[in-house]
Amino acid sequence: MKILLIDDNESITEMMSKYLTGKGHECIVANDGRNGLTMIEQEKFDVILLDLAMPEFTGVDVIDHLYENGKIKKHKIVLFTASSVTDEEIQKLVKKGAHSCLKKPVKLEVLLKTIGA
Amino acid sequence: MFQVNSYTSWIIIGTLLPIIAFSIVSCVSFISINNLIENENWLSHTFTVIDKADYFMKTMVDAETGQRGYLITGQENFLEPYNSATSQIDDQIKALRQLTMDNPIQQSNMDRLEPLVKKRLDLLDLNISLRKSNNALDIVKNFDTTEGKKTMDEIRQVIENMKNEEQQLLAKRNLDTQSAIHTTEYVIILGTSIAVILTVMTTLVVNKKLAERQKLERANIELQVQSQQLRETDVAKEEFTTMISHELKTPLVTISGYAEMLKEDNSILGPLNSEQIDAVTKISAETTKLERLISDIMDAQKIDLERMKFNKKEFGVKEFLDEQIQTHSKLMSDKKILFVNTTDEKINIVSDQYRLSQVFANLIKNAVDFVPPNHGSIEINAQRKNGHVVFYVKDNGSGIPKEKQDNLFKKFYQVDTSLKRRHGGTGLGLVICKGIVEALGGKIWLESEVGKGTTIFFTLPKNDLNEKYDE
Repeated sequence: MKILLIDDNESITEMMSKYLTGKGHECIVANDGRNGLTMIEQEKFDVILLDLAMPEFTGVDVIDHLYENGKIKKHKIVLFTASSVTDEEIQKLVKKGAHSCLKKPVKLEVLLKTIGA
Repeated sequence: MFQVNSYTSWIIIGTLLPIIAFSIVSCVSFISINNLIENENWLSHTFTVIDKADYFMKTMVDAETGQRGYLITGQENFLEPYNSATSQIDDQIKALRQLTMDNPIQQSNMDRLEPLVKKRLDLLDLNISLRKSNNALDIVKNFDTTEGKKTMDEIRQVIENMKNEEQQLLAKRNLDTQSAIHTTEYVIILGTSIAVILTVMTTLVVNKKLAERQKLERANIELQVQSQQLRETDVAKEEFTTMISHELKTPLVTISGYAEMLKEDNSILGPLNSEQIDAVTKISAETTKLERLISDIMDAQKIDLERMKFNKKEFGVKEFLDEQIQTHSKLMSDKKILFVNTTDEKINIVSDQYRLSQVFANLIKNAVDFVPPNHGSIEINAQRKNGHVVFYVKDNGSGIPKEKQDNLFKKFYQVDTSLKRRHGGTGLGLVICKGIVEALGGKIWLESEVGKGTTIFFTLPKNDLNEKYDE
């Protein structure tokens, strides 16, 4: 599976991509929201893992952007957050077309299940 | 209370007494002025009486003089003053009597005067008639007697007495008036002084109270400012906690991720020996505890600020408890704990399923910490009671001493520090449960016996659809 991982924290992206690659997936990393959005527009990914709390261009901005240009339904976007975003906001993002939301720290087992589902 | 009463009575006394004092001063002044006016009237009355008395005496002398001239000359024109005087005398006597009507002494003087005047006038009249009939011998005989002069002297004496009496009365009235004026002066000075002193004192008291009130008002404003600052601090604190929680959780993602990778069978990072696996498992467990601690702090903060949001829906209670059994089954089988749901009736409730599972997670976690190793048992149950659902989580753990039970629902409290070390909790679990249960309209309490176990009960309203939902 081709997975795009958007997170500004390099140790997290390194750990996750190592894990996902080890599980036989192709994992591409974007270290900020704007970069990630460019990649989404250029390539087709099976799953996009999107961190919500990033400086400047956040995960929420990425979702809003995709929602506004109507392309959101084409992607399977799994959000993750370390509780800086409220439950209501997550509900709104899911309504806009995000697949689901995982709370940090994410259990890798759970992450794998969510990607596969 | 005393303060207010004493203050109010001061204002009343301080206002009323000067008014009373000024009223007394006014009355006394009024009476005194009236007295002076009356005295003035009496003064002129006295002088009128004296004048009338003097004039009466002059009239009597005129009558006598006229008679004497006629007697000597025999000419009728000498009788003129006599005639004029006698025609007036009756009126003058009447006037004098009238003027002294109020005075018994003067009336008795008048009683003496009237016969004397009549006697003297009769004598004068007799002499004149004798002269008219040329009876000079009888006249001379008449003149021999001192009867006329004696009567006239008596009249003069009575008139003097009357004048004296009036003078004495005048002196007495003046004396009375003088003392009345003095009294009036004293009353005015004293009354005005009292009024002025009281007014000054009242003003001072009122000013003092006003100053106190202004001080209180200033203190009140300061308190409002401080309270606003505290609210701002609260918001800042919440933002800080959220930020810290985020910062703390981020490294945990990597730590727990690697630990999980290392633990896995056929780990992509290569095989570990059994001791290494044991070490990594401990890292993983501690990471979970740390994460729970961070979440608890966040929730406790939200409960503190009453910012926790609820999303209520209808769901089956028995099914919900079965899910709890499912969720914790791995933990229970690992620790060899008998974990059962003994609910036997079908109950539907409208409440927040997520928050309720949070309550159960905390209560079950506590129970697991306290049950004896290898033969622990935990029972969860729900039953209907008076429009509420009563839930309980019952364990066969060490139990909690009575004196420590009340404190359990207070923040950062554990039964004792040794237990805290043994169980590693944050002390916030029950606080969060209490906050959630109460926010959902229920109550929470516990029954516990040392050595036998603890049961934590809580209620939730069964169907509170009429209540406002938090969005």
